[in-house]
Amino acid sequence: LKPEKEGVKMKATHIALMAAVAFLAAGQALAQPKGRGPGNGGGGGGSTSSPTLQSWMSQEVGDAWRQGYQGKGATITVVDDFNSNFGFYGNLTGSTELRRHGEWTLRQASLIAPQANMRSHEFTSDSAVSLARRSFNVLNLSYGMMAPAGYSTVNWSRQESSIISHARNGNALISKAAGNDSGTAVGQPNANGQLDYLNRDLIGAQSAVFVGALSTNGTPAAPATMASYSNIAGNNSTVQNQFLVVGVEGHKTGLYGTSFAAPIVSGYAAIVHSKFNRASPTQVANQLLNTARHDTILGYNPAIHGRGEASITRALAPSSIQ
Amino acid sequence: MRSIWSLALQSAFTTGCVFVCGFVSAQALPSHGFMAFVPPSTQTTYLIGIQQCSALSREVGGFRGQGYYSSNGKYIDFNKWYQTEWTDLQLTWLTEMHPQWGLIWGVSTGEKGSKYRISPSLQLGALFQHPLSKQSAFSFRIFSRFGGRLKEKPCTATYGSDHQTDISNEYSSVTTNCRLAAGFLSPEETLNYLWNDPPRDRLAIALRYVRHF
Repeated sequence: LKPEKEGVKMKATHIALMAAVAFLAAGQALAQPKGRGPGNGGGGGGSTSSPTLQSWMSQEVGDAWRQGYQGKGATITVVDDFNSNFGFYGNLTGSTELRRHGEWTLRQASLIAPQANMRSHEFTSDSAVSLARRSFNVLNLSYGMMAPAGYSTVNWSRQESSIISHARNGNALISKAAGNDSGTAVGQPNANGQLDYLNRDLIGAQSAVFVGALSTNGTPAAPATMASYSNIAGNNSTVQNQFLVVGVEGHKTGLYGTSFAAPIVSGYAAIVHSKFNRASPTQVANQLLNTARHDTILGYNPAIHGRGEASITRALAPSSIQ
Repeated sequence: MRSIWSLALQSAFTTGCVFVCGFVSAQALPSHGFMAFVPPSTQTTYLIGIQQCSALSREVGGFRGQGYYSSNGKYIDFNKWYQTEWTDLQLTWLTEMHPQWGLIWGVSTGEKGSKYRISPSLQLGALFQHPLSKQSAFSFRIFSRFGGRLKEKPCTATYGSDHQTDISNEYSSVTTNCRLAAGFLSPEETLNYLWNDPPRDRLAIALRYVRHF
C-alpha cells in the first residue's frame, strides 16, 4: 500500500462480523485452518454437479438453476485473504467448516453461480488484478481499505489501482461490500474517524456496485430490514444509485457481514450475464440496480437501501413485451 | 357381422381427450349374442367421435392462467396470448366398406390465439375386424392425421429501461419466446423453443381384442 502522505497507513480489513458472531454461535474459537478449502488456490471452475438450493439463498436462485443457468461464461475473481492463518467457522452447505475469509466468500459466490469460473486473488500480493480473456468478469471485494479520514488522494497499490481502473473503465463488474460500520454511509468516515478509501474511490465508477446487507431475504409478505451492522447508502445520490442490498441470513450460516452480501451479487451478475451474454459489465450492473425491488424491504428508503433489494428474477425479465 | 362398429365406438371412447358425445347406432348389445347386434342396414356411415380439446389444445391451455412479472413489477398474464375463443373440435366418422372393414375419416377445426395457431386437419384411416367367436372379436385400426400442426408466434420484448446505461442498449425490441422471455435463456435461444409441433395423433395404430362374458 502506498498512501500518498508519508506516515499514513491503510489497513485492509475484512468487511465481516462473522468472526465474533460465529464464535458465539458455534461455541468455537477462531482457529487456524488446517488446510485450504475447495475452490481455493488460484483458479478452478465451478462445480458441475447438480446444485442444492441452500436455505440462506433467495428462492429466485433456485428458479435460475432449474432453467440450467448457473453462471456459465462468467469469471468471478475473489480478491481476499487466502493465505493467512486466520479462519473461522461457518455453515454454508449444511455442515460446519473452518475456512479463511476468502475461502468463505469464494465458496459463497460459487454456490450461487456454480458454473462460473472462480478465481482467487490473494489481497496481500500487491499485484494487479488481471481479468480473464473472452469472459464476463466480476470482481468480488469483501474487504475495505481503512485509514483515518481526511486524505484527498491516495497512491494506490497495483492491486487497488487495477480494481479502480476496471471499475471506472467498465471492464469488470465490481461487487464491493459496503462495510460493517453500523449505519455509516458509504464514502463517509465511521464513528472512529476511519474511512474506507476503496469505497470512496469507487463512487461514481461505472461498473461498481456497493452491496449492503439485509437481515433476511425479503419478500412482499415478509419484508426484510437492514442488518444492524451494515453500512448504508447515505445522502449522496451517486452512492444511492450504485447501492444494492441482499439478504445475509447469518442466523443460518453463522456468517454475518456485508462480506457475505457482495458474493451474492457477484453470483447474480454471473447468472444475469448467462442470459444477456452481449451485455457489458456496466450494463449488467445497471440492470441489477435498475430492477432492484422496494416492496421486499420494510420502510424502503433510498438513503438507507439505495436502489433496493437485488432481484435476479426481475433483472432477467423484460421491461415490456408484446 | 356389423357388430364391428360397436367395437369401434368403444375404442374411440378410450383414446379420446374430451368427448362431447360419441355414438354408433347406440343400442345396447342384445342379450342373446354378440353377433346378433346389427345396426339398421341403411346406415353405412357413423359418427364415432366428437372431441373438443386435442392434445395440443391441452398443451397450450396449460399456459393459461400463468404469467410472470416484468422487471418493473407489472404482472404479464399469458391469457392474452394463449386464450382462444374456439377450442379445436375434432369430428370422426366411420364408413362401412365391407362387413369386416371400414374407412375412418374426420376433420378438425383447429384453433388460434394471439400468439399461436393449431391448423385444421383431415383424418384418414381404416378399421379391420375379424370375429373369433360369438363372444369375441379381434380388430386392427390405423389412421393418420394431416395438418393440425401447432405453431407459435414470438413476442417483441425490451429488456432494461435506460438506453444510456443498461442492457436496453443491446436488448431493445428483441424477438423472443413469449413464454420464456423472463427465464434464463437468452432471447435468441428461446426461439428454439417456440412451438412447431405436429398433432400428437399424427399416426395411430391400435390392436384390440374384445370378449364379452
